[in-house]
Amino acid sequence: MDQFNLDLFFERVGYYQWLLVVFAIAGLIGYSLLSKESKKKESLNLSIGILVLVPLYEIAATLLSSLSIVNNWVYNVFSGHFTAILFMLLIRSVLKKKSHRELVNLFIGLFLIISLILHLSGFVHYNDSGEYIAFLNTIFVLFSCGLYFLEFITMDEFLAVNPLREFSFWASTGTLFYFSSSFMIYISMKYLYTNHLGIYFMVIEIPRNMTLLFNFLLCLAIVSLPIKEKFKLEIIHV
Amino acid sequence: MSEQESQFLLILFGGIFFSLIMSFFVVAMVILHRQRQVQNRQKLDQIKAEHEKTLLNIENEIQQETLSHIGRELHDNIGQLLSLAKLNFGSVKPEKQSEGKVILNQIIKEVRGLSKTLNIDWVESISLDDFFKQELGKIHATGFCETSFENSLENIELTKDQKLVLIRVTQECLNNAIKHASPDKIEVKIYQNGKGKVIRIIDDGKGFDQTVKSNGSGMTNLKKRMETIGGEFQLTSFVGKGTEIKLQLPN
Repeated sequence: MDQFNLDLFFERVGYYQWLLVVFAIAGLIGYSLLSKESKKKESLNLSIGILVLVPLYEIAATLLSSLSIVNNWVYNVFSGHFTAILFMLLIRSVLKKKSHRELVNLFIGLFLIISLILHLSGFVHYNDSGEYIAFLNTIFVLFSCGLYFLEFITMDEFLAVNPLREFSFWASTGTLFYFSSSFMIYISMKYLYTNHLGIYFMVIEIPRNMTLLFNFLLCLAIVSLPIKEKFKLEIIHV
Repeated sequence: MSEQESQFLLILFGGIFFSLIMSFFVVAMVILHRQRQVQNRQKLDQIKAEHEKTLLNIENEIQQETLSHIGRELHDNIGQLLSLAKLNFGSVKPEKQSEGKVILNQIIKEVRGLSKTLNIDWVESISLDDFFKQELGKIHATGFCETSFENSLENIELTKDQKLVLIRVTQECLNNAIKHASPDKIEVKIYQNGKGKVIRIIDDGKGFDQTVKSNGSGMTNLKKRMETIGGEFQLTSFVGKGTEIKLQLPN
């Protein structure tokens, strides 16, 4: 292991990590200003969980790479598993039908079981490029998003909602966009990194910017509640 | 163009195409949702219009019922009293004159009472308790049958719409009992159960076979009217064993 080199770490920390940290801090401040009733909302708690987890593992991964330690396991564990489960739980929190919520629970259970089997059988390694896990979690997340949109266009409970101002709509849309745009990049990451490094650095910006946009949305959702309470102005309805 | 440049362009156009697909998806979702909202609003407006039409019909029927009642009272009651008063005033005996004055006061009181009922606003001011006592009192006064009234609830609070519908439905039920059942007794009971307030109208008349289909739509109308105020209409009847009507109001 090389000596701890902060200069290299700060060199590698770019706009992406800084913005993630800013959104996380803003989200935490907004969350601290929320009333007790608002803090009970599952979707807000999951949003703050995602907002805090993403910069944590990104900075951890950057730190490890500055120490010349393979950091794939950080992404495999935190992005591939924890964050994917948080996304599925977020979609579950905005679903109205009990059967659909239970289906998402089943998706989470299946994902964990299949991932465990793949790891224990040696088919995937915790430190590999994570394409199989990315494939698996994308399928389940996209199915969960599908359940939300099915409810959105069929259930009467959503008739009173303005979709352009509704957090659940944008959270599901954001999740759908993020996972579907990142899907091909994550499953072809090893190939691109090995054979087309230039293209790899180009396309990796897509999931990065989608992550930034989505984290911005989550931050806005959390911060909008204290703004609504203080200034009676609703930016986004949670 | 180098291979890398062509691949870059491919990725760029692929990305733009993907963004367009996603944007189209969002727009399609919003449009579908708005269409459903418009359809739902139209359905609600239709239901509201039907509800208002039903209430208007009910108000008209109450007015007609009231006018029929006034006509009967004028003919049977006030007309008789006026004839009696005329006889008494036509006599030279002072006791007949004072009797005539008493009858005249009674006529004035009856006419005042009748004139109050001409205004539909009596529905708003009358309590359910007083209404039942009044209706059953009228039936009892004719000597047609015995009546009884039990109310285990104090201060039954109802909206104007609920009262209108209940009054009309009750009037119809009592009229049907008198017209078809020939009962010896009509009972009305008001109480609370798990679902809400209950009004039971029971007669010991002829009863009828519920399995036989009726030509009229009276029962269906009563059921629909109760449904407009979120209530239920249940009828149980057996031949020779009378009829029981249960009006269930929600909490």
